[in-house]
Amino acid sequence: MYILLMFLSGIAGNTILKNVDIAVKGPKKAYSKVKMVLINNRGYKKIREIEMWSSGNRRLMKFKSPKEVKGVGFLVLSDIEMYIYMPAYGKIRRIASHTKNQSFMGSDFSYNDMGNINYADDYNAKLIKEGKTYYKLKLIPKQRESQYSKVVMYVNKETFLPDSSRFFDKKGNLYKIMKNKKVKKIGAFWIPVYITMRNVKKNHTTVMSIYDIDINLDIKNSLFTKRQLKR
Amino acid sequence: MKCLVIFLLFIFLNVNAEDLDIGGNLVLNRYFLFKDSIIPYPTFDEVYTEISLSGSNYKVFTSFKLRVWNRENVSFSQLSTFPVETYLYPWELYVKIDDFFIENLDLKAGKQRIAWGSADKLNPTDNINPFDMQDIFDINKRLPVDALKTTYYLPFDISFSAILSKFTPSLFGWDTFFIAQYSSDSIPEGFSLSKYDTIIYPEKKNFKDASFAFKLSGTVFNWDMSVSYLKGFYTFPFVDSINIYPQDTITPFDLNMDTYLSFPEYQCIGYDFAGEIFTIGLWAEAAILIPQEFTMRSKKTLPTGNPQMPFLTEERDTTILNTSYFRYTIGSDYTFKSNTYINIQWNHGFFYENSDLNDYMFFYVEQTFRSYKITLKGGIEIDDFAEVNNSYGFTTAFEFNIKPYDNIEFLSGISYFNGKEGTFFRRMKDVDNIYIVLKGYF
Repeated sequence: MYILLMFLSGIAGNTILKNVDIAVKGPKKAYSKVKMVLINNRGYKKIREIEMWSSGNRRLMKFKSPKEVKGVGFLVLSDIEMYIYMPAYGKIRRIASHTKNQSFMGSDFSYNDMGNINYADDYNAKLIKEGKTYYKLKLIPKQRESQYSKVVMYVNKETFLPDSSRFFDKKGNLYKIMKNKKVKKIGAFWIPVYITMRNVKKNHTTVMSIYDIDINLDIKNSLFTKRQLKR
Repeated sequence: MKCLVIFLLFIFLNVNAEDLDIGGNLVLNRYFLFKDSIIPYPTFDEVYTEISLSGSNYKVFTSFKLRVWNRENVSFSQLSTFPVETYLYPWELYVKIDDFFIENLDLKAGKQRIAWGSADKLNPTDNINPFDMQDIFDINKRLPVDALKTTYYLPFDISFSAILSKFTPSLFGWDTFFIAQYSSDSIPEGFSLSKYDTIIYPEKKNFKDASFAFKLSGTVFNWDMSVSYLKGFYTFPFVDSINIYPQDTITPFDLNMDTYLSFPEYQCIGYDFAGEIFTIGLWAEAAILIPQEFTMRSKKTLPTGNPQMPFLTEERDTTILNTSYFRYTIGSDYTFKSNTYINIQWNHGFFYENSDLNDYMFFYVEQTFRSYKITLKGGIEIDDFAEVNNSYGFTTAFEFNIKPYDNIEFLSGISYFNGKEGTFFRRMKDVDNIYIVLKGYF
């Protein structure tokens, strides 16, 4: 009976996780501006501003500020095809997927968080608890290379977006906490517009605001090319 | 070029202020050598400013570099050699038009940097822009060159570029570095080159000094690759001819040397690729360089001490370039979960080597923390694998880099060179140093 319950909670968990993927991916094509505020343990803030275009799994990001990174571009074509353009060198450089777990621009988000999140591909989920407004899932990474040992996710029943996620490191200690503090309905989609990510170990927080979202913009496939990355 | 400058000025003076983007950076540095050197190693502080104007399908761009020379590594007796302290260089100056007349055809005209190759640094196929050798502590800098570049984009991110560029020699800070590192084998013992030697530039008439290049790039099975061709000129001068003769008949044993330098032609066929295996980054780049045969003519007129025949003249031709050679680079990088980044690159042939190519391995280990990082970097040189014990050289540097605030970067480090006599890194021994660099972006 216990085994059967475990099995069923696994099926339910993975089904919910697939819905989370659909919700997180949001509209097929979108344009937005992103502002990241990096707050260190002494309360000092650094600001990063990015312009972002997405279409399916592809993303193009252009850094607007601070001045030291202005003009830098980041192109994601797939999990294993990413490029960075550094205007100072006039050169596009391929970056291998080992960078996925690296901090994105000194923030608490990784390149993976900013690229293609596909929870159902990366994790096995178990439904731990069902509340009135949420599902509590426990995610175990499928790959040993993952930087996390598990993720505990609270999924909003209405939007299927994670209200919060707790990431645990390889030793099982709490590592990062992500919260979707504000979501906005644009067209048929719920889109997180105010996200916080706190690194518990380093007592460092990143607040990400997403604004000027446009899901009706005519974003052509030709935008996701090295030619456009350099423009 | 003058027409382009006037055109750019006209455009900049006729646009709204909000269309313009102005930025740049300031780099202040100090290098403290461990010991006094016979050769002066002045460095410079730099202010870089760029102004750009972008529209939906065009970009007008200009940038300048102001270099203020420091003299901390110049001895008192050498000071008179450095009378000018500040230079302003117009750097890039170009107009770029996308979809020029036909869709997917881009045109970029003017002074520009055309960076080729997928290797991290020291790219064997990156030969359009000459070297900017003024910063002897960073040999990767390049000089923009007057060029016309067209690129046609085909589906699947395949592109074809054709480039016509004007000959521009490499920029040397002080001829001493050039003398010490590059041409010492070509000139007789006891003599040295100087900046007053005659330099013969390629003939300008009928585009005879132009370089032509093309490149085809694309992605095949998730691997980026390109093939390229260049017909151009070496941007470091070679000794063309030497004439050694007595100063006068009264003091016949005091000899003069007249030297002529020129830039031989060559062709380069290049291939490069980049991708990943099991999440590990991998790249390789290879170039076959085919020089035009180049011969150095030397003429020596020496006193004999015999009144019947007071002088004897000897003439000799020495072939400097006649066979093609192969330079290549292979490299890899990886980031560990601890956020440690490691980058290793193997180079066969250094940027100034054109015969008897040596092997170099460069590495770079970086540990990034929140607002600072520490880096260990270095290189190992092997000149002769049959006698590694007597032909190795090495360099290593340890660096600390901190970004206390946005747009402010401070770095400090220590560099050390050593090895067996005759190796490149051993010749750099004079510049063992501690350095401090402050960068600001505006």
